[in-house]
Amino acid sequence: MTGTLDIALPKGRLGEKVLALLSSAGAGGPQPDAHSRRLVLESHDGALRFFWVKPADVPIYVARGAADLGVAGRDVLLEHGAEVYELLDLGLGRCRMCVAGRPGALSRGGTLRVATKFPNIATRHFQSRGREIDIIKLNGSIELAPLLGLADVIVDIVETGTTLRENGLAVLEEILPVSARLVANKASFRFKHAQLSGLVDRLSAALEGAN
Amino acid sequence: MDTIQSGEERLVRELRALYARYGYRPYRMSKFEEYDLYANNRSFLPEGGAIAFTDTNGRLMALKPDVTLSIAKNLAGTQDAPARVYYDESVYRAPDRQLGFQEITQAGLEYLGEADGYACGEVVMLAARSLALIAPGSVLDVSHMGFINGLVQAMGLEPAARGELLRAAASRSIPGIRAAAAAGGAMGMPVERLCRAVEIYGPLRECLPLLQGLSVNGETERAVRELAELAGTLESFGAPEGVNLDLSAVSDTEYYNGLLFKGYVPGAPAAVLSGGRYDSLLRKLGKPGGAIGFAVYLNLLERLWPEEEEGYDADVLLLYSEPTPPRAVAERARRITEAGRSVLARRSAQGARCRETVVLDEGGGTE
Repeated sequence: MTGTLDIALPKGRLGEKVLALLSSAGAGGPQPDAHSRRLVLESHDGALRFFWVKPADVPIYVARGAADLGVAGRDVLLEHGAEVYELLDLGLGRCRMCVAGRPGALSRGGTLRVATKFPNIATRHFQSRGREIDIIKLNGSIELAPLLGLADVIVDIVETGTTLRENGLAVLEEILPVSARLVANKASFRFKHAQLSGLVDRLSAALEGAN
Repeated sequence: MDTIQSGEERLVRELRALYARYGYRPYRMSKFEEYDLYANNRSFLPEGGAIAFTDTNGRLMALKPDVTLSIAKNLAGTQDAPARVYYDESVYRAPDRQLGFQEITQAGLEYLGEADGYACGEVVMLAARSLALIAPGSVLDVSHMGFINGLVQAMGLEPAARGELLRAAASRSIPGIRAAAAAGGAMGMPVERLCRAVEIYGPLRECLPLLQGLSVNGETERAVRELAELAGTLESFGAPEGVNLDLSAVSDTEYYNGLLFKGYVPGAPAAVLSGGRYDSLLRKLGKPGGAIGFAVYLNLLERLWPEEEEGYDADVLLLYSEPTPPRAVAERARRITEAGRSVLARRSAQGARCRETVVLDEGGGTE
């Protein structure tokens, strides 16, 4: 089966970088303007169609077949356990998923209060260490939680660590490295295999050329 | 007949006819099983738990979360007389915890007995033909847990890292495989072999030499032999095209121990058929021999079929009034149906959607 490849891109800087990467890979001809306000964009040769969606929704669009491909951070993929294929590490948006808090926070006894946007990753991490925790699910400003006594530690993405340092916090444990991954719907992998493999090869070559 | 059958009903009828042509018999089972069966064999169950309840006699029961386990418990095949059964049943489990328990309708077959090369080939051929009945252009991907287990064994991996490694393999994540292997103390060529094996995808016959090149021990050799035998058997059956090798189809439960396969049809975003060889389940239940089977997930197919026609409730609306003698209405209804048309007899036309209206007068004649 052939046809257009539908690609779910995360809104924001990461999605724009992916569009630029596709352009440099020469995939699908000249790419559409990333700053357009249209929700669905098409490459000039019609081979690729892009949707801008919330980063956390990318795996849902792909797993349910609304998109053949998508770009999502490893953090989002692990948190949601999406049933997708992870075809390529794009190396974009590199950061770390970490446990952070005031120095020594992990050594306190009893149940550890953990504030996070990633309850599944946090739970798995502390379970693997046999540590009892109380998860506090927050949607933003996670660093505030230990400062106000809402939590003992946080589990969050750390890029440079500047925000942590400026607030008297530090990385206490690194859970996993994070970067953007190209993911594919499992049925599309079969029914659009040639197009999909071609795109992956071009992107791999472009990434190797850039490194 | 076809006009009043749903797409699912038509498919189930065709699947039954297909399976019966190869000597499979229908199998009906109770909706309930003793909960202990599931509690004792949890590692053989797909994720999703079971709905448990206490029966009137105090026994803890469960609504079936899985068909194969019940069939494996209740049926026995022997080398000389294998059991071949097919079914269409509902199971109840919660594959997505956020959505709660769901009724999952499935049709499939099980072969219990000496699962030799022919038997495995027959089951895989029937899986491929089941997919072809659902939609043209379907794809059946076969894998072999023996090959994966052999490669993992050659890595010298710490047992605790196996689950994460298989999850990475199932998502074709090469960085994930390397990371999980490193966490389990494995690296180098044995790990790269698994990465290459997971990346192979294509027609079964064409991919076998690649697989042979990655074989490292007796277990992987045996798997390659079985897959080659399967390719030959499928060719002799004249099985439809679209049988591919895909070693990323792995199972992290103990359910499947050998051949494993998944089926996809255009228009469905996930696998609609899943099956494989499960000798280890029989061994756990204390039964001899082997077993292989598959299920088609009918609930995933709903959106593939065109919606039922929204047009008419019946061909003829037969309108009568209170004084019309019932026998006169019955007489006219009989004549309409005998003429091969459907009839809706009512005292009011409100909301009725019929191609034609016949109005009976008080005496039963037409106005």
